[in-house]
Amino acid sequence: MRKELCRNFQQGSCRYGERCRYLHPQQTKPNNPFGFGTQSSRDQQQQNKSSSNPFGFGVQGASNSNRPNQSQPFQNTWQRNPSSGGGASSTQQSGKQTQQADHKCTDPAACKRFIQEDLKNERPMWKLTCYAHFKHLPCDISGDISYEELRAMAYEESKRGIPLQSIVERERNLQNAKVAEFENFLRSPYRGPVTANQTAPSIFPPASQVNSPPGFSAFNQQPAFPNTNAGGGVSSSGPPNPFGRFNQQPNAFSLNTPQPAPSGPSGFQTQPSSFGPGPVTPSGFQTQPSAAFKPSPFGPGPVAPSGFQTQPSAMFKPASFGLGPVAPSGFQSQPASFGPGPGLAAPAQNSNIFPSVTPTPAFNSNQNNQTAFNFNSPVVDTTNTPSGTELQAGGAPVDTSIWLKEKWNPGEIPEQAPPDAFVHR
Amino acid sequence: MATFGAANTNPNKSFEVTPSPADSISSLSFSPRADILVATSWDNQVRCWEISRSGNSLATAPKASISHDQPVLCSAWKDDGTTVFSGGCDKQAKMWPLLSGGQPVTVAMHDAPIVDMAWIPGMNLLVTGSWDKTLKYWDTRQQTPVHTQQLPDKCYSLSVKHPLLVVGTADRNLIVFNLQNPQTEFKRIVSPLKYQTRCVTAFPDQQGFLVGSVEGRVGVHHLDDSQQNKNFTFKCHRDGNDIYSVNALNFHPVHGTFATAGSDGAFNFWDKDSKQRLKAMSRCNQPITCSSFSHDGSIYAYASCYDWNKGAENHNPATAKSSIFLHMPQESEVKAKPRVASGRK
Repeated sequence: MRKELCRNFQQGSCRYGERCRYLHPQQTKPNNPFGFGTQSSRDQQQQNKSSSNPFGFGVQGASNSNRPNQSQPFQNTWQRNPSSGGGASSTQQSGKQTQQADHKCTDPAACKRFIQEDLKNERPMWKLTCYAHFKHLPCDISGDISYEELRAMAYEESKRGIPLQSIVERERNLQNAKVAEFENFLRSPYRGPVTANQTAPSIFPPASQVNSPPGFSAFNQQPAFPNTNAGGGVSSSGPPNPFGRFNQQPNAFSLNTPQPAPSGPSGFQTQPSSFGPGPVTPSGFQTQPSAAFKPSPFGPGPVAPSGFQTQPSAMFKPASFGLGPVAPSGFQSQPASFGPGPGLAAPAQNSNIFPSVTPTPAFNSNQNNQTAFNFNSPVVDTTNTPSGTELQAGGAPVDTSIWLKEKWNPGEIPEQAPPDAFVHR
Repeated sequence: MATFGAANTNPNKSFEVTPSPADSISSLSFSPRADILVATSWDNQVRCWEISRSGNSLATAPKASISHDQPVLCSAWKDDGTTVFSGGCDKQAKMWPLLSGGQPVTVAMHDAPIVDMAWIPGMNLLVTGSWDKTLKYWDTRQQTPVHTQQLPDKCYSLSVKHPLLVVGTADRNLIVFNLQNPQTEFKRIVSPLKYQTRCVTAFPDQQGFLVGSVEGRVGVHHLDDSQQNKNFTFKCHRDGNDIYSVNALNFHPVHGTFATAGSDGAFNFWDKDSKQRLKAMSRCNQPITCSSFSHDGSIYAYASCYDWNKGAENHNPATAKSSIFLHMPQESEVKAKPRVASGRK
């Protein structure tokens, strides 16, 4: 109908809102040097200064998907993407707008486009970072190192007398390796179909069972710590309890709950359900039956109840995690604990950064060597770190020898993309 | 970095806290009861100042300090405003009853540096997060943790708004706990942002949380699936083609608006409900590493110092200056603004 811009809206005072018969270009954002915007658009199609939203917090998908059917058809038009007609149903087309919808990595070209755009336009200054090409997806590149980790390493080395130059060089090597990892990824980005928030829980078994040495899983079965506390019903006051409404837990975590809860010493309930309303102890664990909390696999129990002093490091030994050698005098700053030690740039990560650069090209040339490849090959592990691989998450596991066949019979062609190791580049 | 003079070091004409620490400041915490500010630093010290007001200006008086053996990375106040906890590279957390002038004692241990911590008032416990991929809950009277929670990766940041606890880890995991059932992850999400998580903070009304990343972006995420349409991300702390990280996120205790502070040296105030930026402050010549609102929101403290965003080569201890500034936000900067358009539901 009317294709004119609403004058009132431009001044921020149109009473008709969505019902107005003139154009309210709400979806687009004004030029904003500080770049409030959706993830996609940096070059804002200039709009008028719709003063209702001066700095245009970009809204991912909200405006779009929430108003699919309005009475005036022209208001549906995506002004940012004239090519794709009606805006509401965002399909996996031109990269920018479609980022709003869930991205399932079903189209390698779309993935590649996101990645190329990101790596061209949106590279942060900090290079030692993980990366995923769409929100909520697991990392395509992992191996995060934070500012503080790098700094702590540097301070530690400096304390040991290592000259600044070597420190700088080590840091530079880390950075170059990571940048190279990104470059490699850019060249062979497609990893297979995956959905948001799906793989993370499946890769990491439910809480408190990850990477845990036997001592720790025994800890889980301690009667004192049933995981079936129904906590949702009680909210302190005022604001709605964000947890209270959830009566179901995602499947991955419900694995954790059916721990039998025998008559615990304290007020632990035995309800198997999660956060439904119900009788509840206000706090997950109470402090009086402290004896119950003493996890026996952990060796020496709590000694003096008073706030402990700093010498008897032997008593402390949080050795339960087995994450690496705990410096025996835990209170000193043992250099050994810092290098590729527990916590800081863990060994897996460190070795991840360097080798990931070289093997990939080398392996590509050997693709036909049948003996070299299987899922256990370290090559696959380094490009997709131990912590999560999209390959595994994508679907039913496929016999990898299928990729080595020269000819496929009908029906044999796998639906999954080949693992990286097999991909020609 | 060349300093042109006072204009660039303190372009917002904020009040400076003196004496300034000798090295970068890793965390700032205001007492929940009084205008007492605690700062932890890479020079191994935890310092405390009392802030007093006279008219429209602020004065700071250093009160006390304690040391750790190694750089201190995080701090937290107990809810009664009597005690401060601090932790860092020495893998310990200390409890310092500073109001009574007591001596610090060690109350927590990890296998790797402790990077964030919070006091949980509802449970009288201290929760510490570490690069050893665990969270530990401590009753300060016991030597062993009340509970140890495994995380999928190194803890980078955590935030408590009882009973909501949000933890951001390496490789973009965000884990939400209901502290009424702290041994079970309530939800695990992969970050809506594409790059490394830098900081998280929970909404005051516990409906969700903010997450900031190294690529100049903040995500607003609601916990309830029915509110998913209110989730969004926005860009900030960018300068032309340079994309800086968001180093700190803090909610105003009264107005529900929030501040972001970045590696670009700027801090901004935002309103997530009307999706507006309320105020952009001028850029300091150094990154802002951390920030905090006072208990009533009348003071916003921020630290201008090197955050290591360019590594060791830009670190020059001889010439580096780390400053803590205090800004008194005006109401227009931090008060929520309603959306102007009508007719919108």
